[in-house]
Amino acid sequence: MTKKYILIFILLAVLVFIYFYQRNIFVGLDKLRLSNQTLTELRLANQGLEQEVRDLKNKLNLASQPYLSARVYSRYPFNNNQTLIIDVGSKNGVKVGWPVLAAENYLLGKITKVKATTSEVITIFSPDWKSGVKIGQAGAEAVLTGGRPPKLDLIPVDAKINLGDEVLNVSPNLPLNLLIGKISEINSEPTVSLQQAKIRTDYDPNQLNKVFIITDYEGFN
Amino acid sequence: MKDLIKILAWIFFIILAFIFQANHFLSLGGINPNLILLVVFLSVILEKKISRFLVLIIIIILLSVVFLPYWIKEIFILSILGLAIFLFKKSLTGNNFFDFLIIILLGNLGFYLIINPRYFITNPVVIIIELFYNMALGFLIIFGVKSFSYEKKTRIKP
Repeated sequence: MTKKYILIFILLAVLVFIYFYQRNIFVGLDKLRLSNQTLTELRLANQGLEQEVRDLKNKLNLASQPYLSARVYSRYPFNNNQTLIIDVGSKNGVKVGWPVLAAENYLLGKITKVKATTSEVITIFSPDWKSGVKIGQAGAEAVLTGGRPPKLDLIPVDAKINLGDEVLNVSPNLPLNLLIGKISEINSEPTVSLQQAKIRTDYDPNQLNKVFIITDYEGFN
Repeated sequence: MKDLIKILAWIFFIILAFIFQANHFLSLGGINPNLILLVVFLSVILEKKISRFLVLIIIIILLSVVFLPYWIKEIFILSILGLAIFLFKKSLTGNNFFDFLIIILLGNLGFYLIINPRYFITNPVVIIIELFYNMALGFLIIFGVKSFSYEKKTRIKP
């Protein structure tokens, strides 16, 4: 009898596994089906993307703001927060409050704690994150609340916002107009006088290995 | 000597759990299993001597000072929860299998309740999925441990 329950449980666990990893499984199967020609095309496309990344890095080098690049050392190990530990610290001159970018112009978070060789970064994916933002060209203001995904609250009901609109920072303790992400979902109920929205970023915070710290910024903390 | 080997074995598993968890290994759809909790609670179930368990708890706290200095509060709470459950484990069912699943359930909820009670309101779904995930992993671990110990007991020496 117990064995039966164990088998059912294992079966359920396998089903859950397949459900979460189905994309990876199908991607793997698709890869197997790819012909040599498609592989060559992919290689060429990859070379193009690599060149694009190199160009972006060069752009960052040429930017007027000095920056420090850092590797992601580890990530907050539990689910109730989204902070990162990076491999630069007070020995590298890092200070609390400095903005951290995921890529050129993409705001990721800011430094919250500094030790000799490492620092902690609170990210826009952390539930403790709150900052002022503006949306799209119309510049409607909202409050960014961290999470997976980050959310926008307190958007005036008459504000004209659309899917895909860029969300930019206006919080005075971080550089103005840094890109946070794009609107992916809008929730506006007729009975409520405010709207809410969700944000999508072009990067996956769990895949980030390198970040950039703007080193000469002193915001109003 | 036997005590030392056992403690070293636990340290190995704890370090492994630290490394895996800090790198979001086994993360499903962004939800990370609490591997440190699983190892600590497995030691609660399998360890008989409180002295050995206390040594293990001290080592876990020291390791977190070295490897995860920013999250010492979380590790400390996990350790205290483990210790509390160790002291009250006699009040449980006595069946390692069910006890392990019960303490994962209680420990997981207790952990978030102490760390961030607001998290229960903001992300109840994530807590439930993590709970299910931790219990599924815990189930596999205790099943593996039981099968291993059964095999060891029944092995006929040549």
